[in-house]
Amino acid sequence: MLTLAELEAETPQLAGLADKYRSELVPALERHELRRKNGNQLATAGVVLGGAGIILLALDENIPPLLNGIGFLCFIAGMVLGGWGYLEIQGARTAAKHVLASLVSKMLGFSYSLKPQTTYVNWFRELSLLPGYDRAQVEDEVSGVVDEVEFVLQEVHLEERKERYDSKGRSRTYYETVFQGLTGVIDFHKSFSSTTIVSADRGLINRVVGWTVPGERVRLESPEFEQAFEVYSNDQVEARYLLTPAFMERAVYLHRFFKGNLEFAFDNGRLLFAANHQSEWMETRGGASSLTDETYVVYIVLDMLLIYHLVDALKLNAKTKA
Amino acid sequence: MDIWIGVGGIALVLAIAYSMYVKAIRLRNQVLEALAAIDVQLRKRHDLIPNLLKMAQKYLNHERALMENVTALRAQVEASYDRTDPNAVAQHLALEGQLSATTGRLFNMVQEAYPDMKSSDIMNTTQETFTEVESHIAAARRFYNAAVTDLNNFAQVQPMSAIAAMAGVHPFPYFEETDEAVRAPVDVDEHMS
Repeated sequence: MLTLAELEAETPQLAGLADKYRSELVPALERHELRRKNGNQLATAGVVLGGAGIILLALDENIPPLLNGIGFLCFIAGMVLGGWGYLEIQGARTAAKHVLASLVSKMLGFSYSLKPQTTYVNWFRELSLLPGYDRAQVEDEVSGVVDEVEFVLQEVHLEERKERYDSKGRSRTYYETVFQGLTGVIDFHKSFSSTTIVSADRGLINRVVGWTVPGERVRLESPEFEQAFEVYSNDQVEARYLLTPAFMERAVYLHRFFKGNLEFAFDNGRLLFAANHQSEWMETRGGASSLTDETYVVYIVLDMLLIYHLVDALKLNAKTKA
Repeated sequence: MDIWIGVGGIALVLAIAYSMYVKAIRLRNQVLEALAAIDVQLRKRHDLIPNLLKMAQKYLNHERALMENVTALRAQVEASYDRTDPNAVAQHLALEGQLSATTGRLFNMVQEAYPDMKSSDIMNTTQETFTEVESHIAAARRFYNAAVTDLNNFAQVQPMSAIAAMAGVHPFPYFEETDEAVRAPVDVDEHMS
């Protein structure tokens, strides 16, 4: 894992981050760390109390009814304390993330929003980059300009409503995650008017659901690219104008970087991408360690620097049109 | 019973033959569509040629033969041809390749002979448009070659080739450069730096 000093050396905009971390961030984070610790204690107490309640309830007829009643109360109190503790831990983590992300994004010249006002989920849906859903949550928006390339990154969590039936035929509704990852809308350096969708190659599944993707199938020359993706477009020539052999190589590299979970599209002058299974983006990883830990800042910085990596990997700042 | 098996067998063979016929026509139409797409992009480049010639006339009067060659080639390329005839298509693509090479050479000569022009607005605009058009032409060629691969894979293997021949569908030539100078793209950036 990199240190803050190493990150500073690599990224000129982050000069002074280590000092700011010690002088500004640590005092602010200590408050949230205290809240997290309190939450941990509440949750632990809840688990102990709830556990005791379950034991008393399990003993049932072997103990006096009064103890049964106490067991029930213990169980309820344990649930309440546990829930309260969990909310406190989550609240502390979110607040810490906000403090860290706001400072880092400011240093990089970006904007950060925990709950963005604008979401692009419908646009992504129209392009088949996101699956159907019943409940959506969008958070952690980072926007700005890198090398004259405008971008907006958002974390998206989509859930689908499902029903389960028990042995007595009673239905129970629950939500299943269908997408949890990173989405991005980035300016593209070439002008185009068509829509080209590059979806992940899912073998036979593509043949079954391929008709739901707008546009005609575009077959390209790169076997590696064809193995990773399936391309659909309403303009065969423009699709190839956008997906040059050089760009296809870069896309294959990013496909591996996102462990095969990358899909993207060109629409309305922009490059849109969705990378599933990126649930840890902008999250304070490893709940057990302290929120004042330097590692948290490093993770947040690395997450924010992802956009530099994307712009560089796809050569979106290129002046030539290759 | 045997008659019905026979009738069923013939019907199946006819159905397969018909589906092959339909596929041959579809693949040929795809090639024609790709060819049309190339022509659309080439038209954009042809539209740039008068500008280029104007610049060349101003600075490269001694290269009159080259300019006349560009003008003549442009006229030949713009002449109509039978798109369904692979030989006519091959000839058209070869002429287009020559025009591409000659135009590129003229463009380079103008830049090399008059480096001060590199910074002029008209040269910058022409350079950008030229690069853009070249990228589109390259994309159209790739579309054409992909369509030709599909068609040729179908029309060169028995029994599909027999059906394709009956339908008047023949293998098409690829768009490929034989001349090394033509094969190299016009590296405008290099000349402008």
